[in-house]
Amino acid sequence: MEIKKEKTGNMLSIALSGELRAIDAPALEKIIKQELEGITYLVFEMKDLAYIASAGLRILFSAQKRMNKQGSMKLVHVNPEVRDVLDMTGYLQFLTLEE
Amino acid sequence: MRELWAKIDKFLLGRKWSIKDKLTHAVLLHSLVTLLTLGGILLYGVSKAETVINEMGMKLVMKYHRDSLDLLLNERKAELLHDAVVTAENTDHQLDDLEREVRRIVQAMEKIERHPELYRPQHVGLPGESDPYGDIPFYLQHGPEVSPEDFAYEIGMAANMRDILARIADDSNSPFIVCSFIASKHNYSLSADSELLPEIKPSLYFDVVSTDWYQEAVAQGGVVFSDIEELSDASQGSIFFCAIPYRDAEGDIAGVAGVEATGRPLQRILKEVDSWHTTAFGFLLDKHGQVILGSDNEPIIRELALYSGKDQQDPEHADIADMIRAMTEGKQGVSEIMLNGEKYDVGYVPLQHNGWSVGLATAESEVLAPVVRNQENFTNLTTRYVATSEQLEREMAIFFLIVSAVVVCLVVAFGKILAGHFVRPINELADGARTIAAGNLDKKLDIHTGDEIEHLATCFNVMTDELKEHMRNVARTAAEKERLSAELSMAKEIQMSTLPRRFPPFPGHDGFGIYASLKTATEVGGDFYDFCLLDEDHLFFTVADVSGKGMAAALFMVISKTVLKNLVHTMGTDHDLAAVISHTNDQLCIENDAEMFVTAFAGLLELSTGRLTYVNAGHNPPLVYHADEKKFKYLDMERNFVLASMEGYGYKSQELTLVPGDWLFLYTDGLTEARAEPRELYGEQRLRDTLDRQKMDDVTPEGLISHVGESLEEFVGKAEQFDDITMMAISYCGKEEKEGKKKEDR
Repeated sequence: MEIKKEKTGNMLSIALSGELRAIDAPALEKIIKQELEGITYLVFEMKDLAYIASAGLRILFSAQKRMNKQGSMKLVHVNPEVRDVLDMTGYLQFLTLEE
Repeated sequence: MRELWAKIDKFLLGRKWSIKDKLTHAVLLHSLVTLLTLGGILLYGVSKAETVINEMGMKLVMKYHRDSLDLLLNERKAELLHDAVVTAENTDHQLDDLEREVRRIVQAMEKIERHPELYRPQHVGLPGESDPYGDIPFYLQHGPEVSPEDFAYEIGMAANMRDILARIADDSNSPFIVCSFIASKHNYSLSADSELLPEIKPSLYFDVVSTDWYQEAVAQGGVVFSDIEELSDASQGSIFFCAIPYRDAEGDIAGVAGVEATGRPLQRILKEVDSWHTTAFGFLLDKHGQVILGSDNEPIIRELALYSGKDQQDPEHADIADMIRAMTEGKQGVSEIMLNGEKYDVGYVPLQHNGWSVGLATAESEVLAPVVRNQENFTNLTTRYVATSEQLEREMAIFFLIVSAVVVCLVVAFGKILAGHFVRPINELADGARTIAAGNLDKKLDIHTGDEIEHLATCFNVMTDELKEHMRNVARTAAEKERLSAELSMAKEIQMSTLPRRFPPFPGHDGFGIYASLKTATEVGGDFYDFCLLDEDHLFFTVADVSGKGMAAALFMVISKTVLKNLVHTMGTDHDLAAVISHTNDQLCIENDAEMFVTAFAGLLELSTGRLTYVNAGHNPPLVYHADEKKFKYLDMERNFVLASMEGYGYKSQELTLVPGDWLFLYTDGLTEARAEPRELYGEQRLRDTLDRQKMDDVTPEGLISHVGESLEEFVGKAEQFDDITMMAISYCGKEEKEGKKKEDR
């Protein structure tokens, strides 16, 4: 998969594309852990993300939990398959999706 | 032709040369090209230089020849003229001498005429009478009509001339004067004749006044020279006369004094020319253009005499006529005439006397002979030189060929040695590489050529060392991995042993059938399933998936499974599954430091009624088969959150009633997300199609799972499995079968 991040002031935008598998999770987790300091608004651009594994869900959820304390977080342009997974696993109720 | 080229091309390019061959050929080719180029230039240069030299030589020879001819001819002509001048002078001196002698006679005779008182008459004999004065005959001759007695006194007085005449005629004084005489107008003469032989007697009668010279001398009143006459006896040579009239006391001409001289002295003068050249000749021409005297070269003189004479008109000999005209006109110069088919140069100079002219001639061919010879020599020399240089050229070419052959041989030999020298370390390198490839990593290449090959060998040694190190590492890692793998496989063993693996698990319970399989992606996985009979009428079953994979997932799975199972067993008679799940979630949240989570489907089937209570904690929904619809479809799902992520989450349960012949098919997403090689997912649709293809009336749960398993296997082929794949199939048969067969089996 490919991860692109862009920091503008207090806002961090992370664009994910391809497939987020268990094997890709550590790279994303590392970014979340390192870059969230002082961030009040975190956006995941997920237009090009075709698949997300459970490890990915865990990271999104842990990011959400952290952002709940210091600001807000959004997933934008989530495609239907990924949305289904979020829905099925119940994560959808804790995450904010935006078109 | 094209085939030939193709062959050559194939030979040159298609062949695989070794470096040694390439080097040898390169050196050979280089040497050959250099040799051939140098040799070609050399030969071309030599041949060109030779041609130029030859041409120059020939040009020089021709020019030298022409110049020499011109020079020689010009010189010769000047020389001829000069010689003619000298000859003419000499001839004139000769004639002057004669004239002087005759004048002495004239003086003496006139003295007698003027002073007769000083002399007495003397006796003079007739021809043949005994010599009264030494050796030289002195005699009287007269015309036949003359009677000597009539002029006895006069003759006697004239006889006083005897001494002087004899002295002049004497050979010892003037060798060329044959005879000296006085001739009186009375037609008698007194002569002293030194040449007269004793046996010859001159005739008595001699009509002296009618001779040409007498008449001419009288007519001229001065000195005359007669024409030169050839004597009938050729050995006597030729004679001519010099005559001067003498006068009496009154000054009238009383007679003529003269001498008869041989032409020999003049001839000798002319002959001096002869000694220079064999073709040279000299001649005297009289005022009539007649040749009167020639040097010894008689045939040619006679030839010339044929065309001489003023009136000669032969057009073929106009050149001769022109010359003779010039000579008779008293001119001096050089003419070219053709005589006897030969070209002659003639130098001519007029004499002081008598209108005569001297001519000296030489054939051009003789004059030019040395030049012609020279040219021939030169030509011969040039020809020889050309031949020599051609020979030299040939020898050079042969020498060059031999040298080339030797050089080629040397180059081939030397090239092979050199190439061998170059290639040897490469071969050593290759051998070393083979040895190393064969597994001998202790092999060290020992090459010290100081060039790139040594560098390569050094790199090779470094590579071998690194390879050795690497292989040690690999061996170590492999050992490590093996140990780990052994541990993992033991872990897997333990993990799997926590799952119910005995089928059928509840023998005697015919009201339902259950079968489950778990195929891990790595040695230990995060999936698990479980089932148990809580009592005779309640079957609890679950399928769950721990996020992530490997050891952490496996451990968390064990924890999850244990917690869930423990809590399920604490479930009260209200059979509140949702409470159990919520409780489990709380427990897992407490112990979950690694932020792992679990998706799970848990179901509680009341066997007697077919009532199914289920809770779905973020798991993918199971499929249910209703016997009356004969179709698998997804269970209706409440969206509960995953386990272990949010403490205090309230899970909701749902219900469904199964009738006999209904089925449940549970699975983890490892099944639908299994991939074939080009990233295609197995997918839910494929799964449902596969299930629907199965006739459900006569299949066991195990059969159904292996049916799906086969389909999956066929789909993924050899693609690697990424995720654990868990399947569970439950068939509900209803209480009829279960009647009277309640047996404890946990």
